[in-house]
Formats: sequence, C-alpha cells, structure tokens
Amino acid sequence: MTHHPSDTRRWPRLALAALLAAAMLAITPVNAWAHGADDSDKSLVLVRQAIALIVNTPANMDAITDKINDALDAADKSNVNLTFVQRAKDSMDSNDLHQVRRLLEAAIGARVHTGRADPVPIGNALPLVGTDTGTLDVADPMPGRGPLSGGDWVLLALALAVGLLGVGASLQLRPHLPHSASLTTDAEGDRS
Amino acid sequence: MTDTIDTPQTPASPAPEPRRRGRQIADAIDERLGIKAIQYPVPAHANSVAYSLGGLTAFSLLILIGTGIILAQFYNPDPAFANASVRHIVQDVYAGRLIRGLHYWAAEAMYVLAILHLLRIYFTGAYKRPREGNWLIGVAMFALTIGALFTGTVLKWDQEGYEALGHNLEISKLLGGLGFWFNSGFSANVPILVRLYIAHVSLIPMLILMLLVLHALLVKRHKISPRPDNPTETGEPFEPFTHHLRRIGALGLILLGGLTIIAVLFPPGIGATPVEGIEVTRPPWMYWWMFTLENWIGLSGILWGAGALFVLLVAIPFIDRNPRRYWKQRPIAMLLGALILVLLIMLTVLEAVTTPAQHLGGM
Repeated sequence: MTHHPSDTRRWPRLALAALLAAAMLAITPVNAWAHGADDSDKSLVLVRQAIALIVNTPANMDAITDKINDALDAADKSNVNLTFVQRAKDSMDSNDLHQVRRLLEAAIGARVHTGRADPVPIGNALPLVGTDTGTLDVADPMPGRGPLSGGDWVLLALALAVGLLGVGASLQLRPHLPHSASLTTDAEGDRS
Repeated sequence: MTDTIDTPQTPASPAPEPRRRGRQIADAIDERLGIKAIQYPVPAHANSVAYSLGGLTAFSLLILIGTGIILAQFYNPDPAFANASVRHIVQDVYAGRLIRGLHYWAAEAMYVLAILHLLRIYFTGAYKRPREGNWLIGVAMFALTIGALFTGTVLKWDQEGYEALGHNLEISKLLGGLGFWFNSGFSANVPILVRLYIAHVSLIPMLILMLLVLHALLVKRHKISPRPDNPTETGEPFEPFTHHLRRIGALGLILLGGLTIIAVLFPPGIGATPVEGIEVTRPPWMYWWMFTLENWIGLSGILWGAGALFVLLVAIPFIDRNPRRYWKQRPIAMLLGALILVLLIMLTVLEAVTTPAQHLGGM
C-alpha cells in the first residue's frame, strides 16, 4: 500500500473538520431555557422548598414568605396539612425560623428537626426515578470539622513525617542539569 | 545402623548474595513480563518538578482510586440515602473523615496539577510534531477529569451537588441529541444519581486509565521532549525511566503528606439535603469562570465557554505551525496563551465577588 505525500498533510484538517461538524451538531438546541425557576403547582414541593430556603438562606425572609404563600395557594394541596402551613405563615412575623421550620415539617409529615419523634406517615412512598431528590426532611449542613482531636494531631505528625521523607528523597534524586545560561546560546542558534 | 552414601565431592557453591538473588528474580520476571522495557533512557531534565507534573497528576489519581475504593464500600447511591451515607462515612466510619477529605483534596490537586502540566506542555511547545496525538489524548484526559469532578460533586447529594446536576441537565437540553445521556427520560426507571455514580466509579476512571496507558506509551515512543533551551540535549546526562518514577514517588510523598495535612485541617463539609426548584449555592471554584459567563448570557454561556476552550485546546497543534519551541521565538503563541489564562482568572475572580443568580428552570 502506498501513501500519497499529501495524505499525511490532509488528516489533521480532516480531523478538525470532523470536530467542527460534531460541535455544530452539539450546539443544536432542542429546548430553550427559562430565566428563573418554574414554580411548582404542588403544595408539598413548595413547602419543601420553603424549608430548604430556611436552611440555606435564612436571611432571605421575603423568599421564604413567598414560598409559604405559594404553598397555600397551590393547585395541588394533596399530602399537606395546610393548617400547619398557615400557622407557619403566621409565625413568620415573630422571626422565629425554628418555629416556622418545625411547623412546615409537621405540615408534610417530615421528621421535625427540633424533636426526635418519628415522622407521621403521609402515604406510601413512591419509587425514586430521574431527578427525584428523595428529600423529605431537609437536614442541616454539616461543617467540615470541629476542634482537633488527639488522633488528628497524630495524623498531622505522620503526614508531616511522610512529607519530610518525600522532601529528603526528592532532594537526593534531584537532577543535575547543565546550567541554562550556557544553553541560551544554543537555543538562539536554533533560530536559524 | 548408619548409611553412608558415597557421593562425588564437589566444591561447595557459595550461597547467592541477596542482591544477586533479587536480580535473578527480576530477570525471571522480566523474561516473562518484559518489565525492564520501562528502563528506557530519559534525559535528566525529566526529573525536574516542571517535567514531573504529569507523573504527579497520575499520583493524585492513584490516591483517588485508593480512597475511592474505600468510600465506595460505605456510600449508598440511592437518592433517599446518599446524603445520609456521606454523613455516615464522616461520622461513624473509622477514619472516614480523613479518607473522604483525602479523596476531596486529591481531586482538587489532580485538577490543578493537570492544568499546570498542560500549561508546561503549552509554554514549552511540547505538543508540536510528532506529539500532536499525545496532546489530544491529554486534552481528553483533562475533560474526563472535569467529568469526574462534576460527578463527584453531585454524588454527595446536597443542595450544591443537586444544583450542579440541574445545570448539567439544562445544558444537555441545549446539546440536543448529544445530551441524551443526561436526560432523565433516557433510563426512566433508574435515578440519575445511580447512573452518575456508575460513571464516577467505573466509566470515567476506566477511560482515564486506558488513555493514561496510551499517553505513557506515546511518551516512550516519542521520548520526553527536550528542553526548548537545549533542543539537542547537549551535555545532558540520561537516566533510566525507573529513576524518573522514583523521583515522582518522592515528590508524590510530599503531595501525599501535604494533602493529608489539608484533609485533617480542612475536611470538606456536607450541605443540606437537596430540594428541587431553588438555586441558592455557589458552584465549586473550578467552574466559577463558566458561571460568570452564565450570569452574563444565561445557561448557554457555560456551553459556549467550555466548548470554545476545548475546541481551542484541540486545535492548538494544528493552528500553531511554528516549529520553534523556545518561548522567545513564539511571541504570538505566548501572548495568546497568557491572554486566555488572564481571562480565565478574571472570570473566576468575578464569580467569587458577585452574588450567584438564579438560572435554572424546573427540573
């Protein structure tokens, strides 16, 4: 089999053309996105969102109030005890978000974050599919660590020893290169 | 009764020295597996830190695989239990906090080291003929590393991870047919978290390892690129590649020690369990430059930004036809590289100082 000299020059361009064609295919949109979240029409979902806002952005009282109002006005109010939601709304004036959260969790039968009681069963759980979160009660964020324990100090000492061993070994194995200043002339010569 | 056996007297042979015995074993293994093939000569500059960045990236991968195997024994990819299982690892599993911390920080290290390795290749012109193919393999491995980081972010199944997934699902819609894998309807009866878990622990590592083997074989075939300031390798000693591995092992110990210290002092936290329909978190820092673009032009900004960067990375060896590799002889390439680097850093800083905006539609 013989190769035409121009064949070897052509393949990078062909590869680039194929990539560009793939990129053009890739950017064909099928669905435009909406700026801003689509509000759910399910009270259960909106109550969970209100709880999540309390957990993640407790300072944003307006957003929390809006979600609670949306939950009260939602078309689908199944599996939600609206009395608790209404009480949660009334409690917003007191700025006691623990109380608001407790009432919202009680409204959807989630484990109440301030107590240890089992959640009230609302109905049979559906199998989780697609992007279902599986979240019923919103757990608080867990910080990375508390104060250092004795074990932590031992680990730090061991890690330091390993690092120092590495420093020693890498110094032992460091390369001995010709001085770069003496090489600059060679590289300049490469320019020709 | 005593039996005497007349045997011919032969001079007693001395017991083999341990070193010689070790060599015999190595020879026996080499005869069967050809392990000495990795003792090919490499120039001494391969042992410098700059030329060891690729090896250190692989070392990070090794840490990730080791810690990942342990984490996989305790992680539950069921959406209802995923977040709780991560909390269980941290709170109840022996050394679980350390293992998870090491996994988290090794992933960050791998990302940073891969970028530094890529920059070293770019600024020393090591992607030029005949190494274009290996550059493309490296770019593919970099893309897979980002994929591993993304899937890892989602796996902890907190609000941050869920919002990262939300962005990806929206972007997959913009991709049209090519985004089918991220469509939750593609496999309607399986939670997408389970599919991402399989990608994180199986598909992506397998692809990275396959490409890594190919990458290493091509390094051997084309040899480690000479220093641009010494293209003829004048006066430079050569050493077996196994010495280079030893040097990477030594630098790797520094990396391991450093990562362990960081993992103990700054273990990663876990966010609140996720709720759909809200957008309240900031993404991990490596995605910040894309999210600034998103804040400016919407979700498609992520797609266009990332797409443009990777198309450019793929095209570099075919655009830059200048055969010179010394930086002073490549002013345009140096200027372009520096400009893109500064742009990415600026976009990253902008995201750090602005309030995240809401872009997601309902998932």
